[in-house]
Amino acid sequence: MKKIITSFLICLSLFCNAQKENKSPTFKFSYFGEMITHPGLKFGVEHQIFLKESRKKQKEIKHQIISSLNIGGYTHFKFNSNLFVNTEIGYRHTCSGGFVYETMIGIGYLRTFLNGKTYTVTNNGGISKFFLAGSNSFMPSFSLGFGADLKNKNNSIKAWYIKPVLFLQMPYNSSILPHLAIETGINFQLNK
Amino acid sequence: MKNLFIPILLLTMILISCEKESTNIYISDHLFLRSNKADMPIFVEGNYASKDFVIVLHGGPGDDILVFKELFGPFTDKLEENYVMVYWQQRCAGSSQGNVDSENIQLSDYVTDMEKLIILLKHQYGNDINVYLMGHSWGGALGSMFLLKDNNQMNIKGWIEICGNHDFPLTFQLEQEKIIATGKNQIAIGNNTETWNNLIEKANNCDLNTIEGKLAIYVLTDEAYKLMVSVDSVIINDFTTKETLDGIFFHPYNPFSNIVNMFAGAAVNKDYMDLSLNNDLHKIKIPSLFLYSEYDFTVPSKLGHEAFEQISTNKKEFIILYHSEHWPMRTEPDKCSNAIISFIEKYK
Repeated sequence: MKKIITSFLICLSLFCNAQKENKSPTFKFSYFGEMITHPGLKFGVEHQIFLKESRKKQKEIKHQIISSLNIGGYTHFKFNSNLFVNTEIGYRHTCSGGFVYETMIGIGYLRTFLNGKTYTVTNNGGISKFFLAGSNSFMPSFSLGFGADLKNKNNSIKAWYIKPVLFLQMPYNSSILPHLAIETGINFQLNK
Repeated sequence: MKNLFIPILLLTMILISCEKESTNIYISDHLFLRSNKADMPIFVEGNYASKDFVIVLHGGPGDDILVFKELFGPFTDKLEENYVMVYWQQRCAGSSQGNVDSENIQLSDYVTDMEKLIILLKHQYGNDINVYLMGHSWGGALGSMFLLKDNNQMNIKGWIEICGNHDFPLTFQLEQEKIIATGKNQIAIGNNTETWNNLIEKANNCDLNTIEGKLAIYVLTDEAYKLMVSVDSVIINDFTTKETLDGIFFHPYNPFSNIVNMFAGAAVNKDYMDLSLNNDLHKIKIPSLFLYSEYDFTVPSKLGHEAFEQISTNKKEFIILYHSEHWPMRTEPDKCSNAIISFIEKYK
């Protein structure tokens, strides 16, 4: 777990350095519904690592490599509530008409909190109660998304997107628990 | 307004006092028990008035305890009207969380968890509560193991076994016998002759001394049940589309958890396949109720008869569900719940 946290902090520092060079970072805010219906939120900031613009029949097409740093959470009533931080990297393609599709992979840290009072029985038969019981997990993720670039330079909202996300909770009872989620939200810039 | 004040005050006091005298005190608690790296959910729901607590031991190992709430509602709702039902999710099953080392999981871990569960319940709800055990399928083995350990029976008022399997080697043998016997009867009356002949042949070829043979006969039990559905008075036990969709999108926990835990808990399966408690059941001396199904090919009712004969108490009952297979709580809910209520009221 220490290795995961260290790796994550290194990613974070690289990301922050990169952001200093870009004066207007793109933020994103989304609904993060695990199995669609179990509600959550995700907030992140994006950084463009690579951009190539091409023209086909006088129409502009963008190829981007994007990285992002995110924080979020969701809850399963009577099961657990979860907080996560993760970093993602992936390819984004913007068609001439503004249609966007992207694929991202990520790594992160997931902390679960049991949704209920948690007790244990001690060796002498007594009862002790846990505060914020839960577990720590590694959280790799993969997503395929699509959306639209709104192409409105005067508007702070730059795009909307929707993407199914597969993420894993490792370990989970010596195994791996897959999660499916739907993420839908907007990309925006604060100073535009 | 002043004239109304005193009558309203009196009426309010009467209503409050009536409420205090009510015999129905419903509780609905959700706890977790942490034991040896497992975080196991416990749902405590029902009428606290009698202080009778029924701990539900689900099947598997690895089944989901919430099916008792979500799919067997007519059965458990009636029990909750009378008693407090304790839906305990066992380790490495359903929505049970944590980081259990599933490779080294032992049958004794489940018994230890149960012992801790009872300590926790008494701590939460008082030492004067009456605890009953109700085990289905694998839960029958778990309950029997618990009752046969040390002085555990002293903490339990009654034992209810629903299609419980407390002797796996004997069960596999009885499954084989039942498939062959039923098949021969069906062939004699001309029902699905070709299919039954195939099934009998497959059953005869299962070598019950091997794990492969045991698994093969287990698979055949489902085929046999389905054949009987078409010709006899067996009530069909299928999920509706709504139940399936609810199970995926509106389930209180990640539905993949059930699958992952089932495989994680499968490590213990090698042990339970050899678990044989039939010769020790005479040590059980508490009131016991056995509910078994006529068309249960998975745990044939003959196994329940064996247990009924073996236990050392006169306070025992054996009931057959004539239209059910392995899940009579779903197919004959009223008959099951009435039998349990009658049993608890008789021996409490």
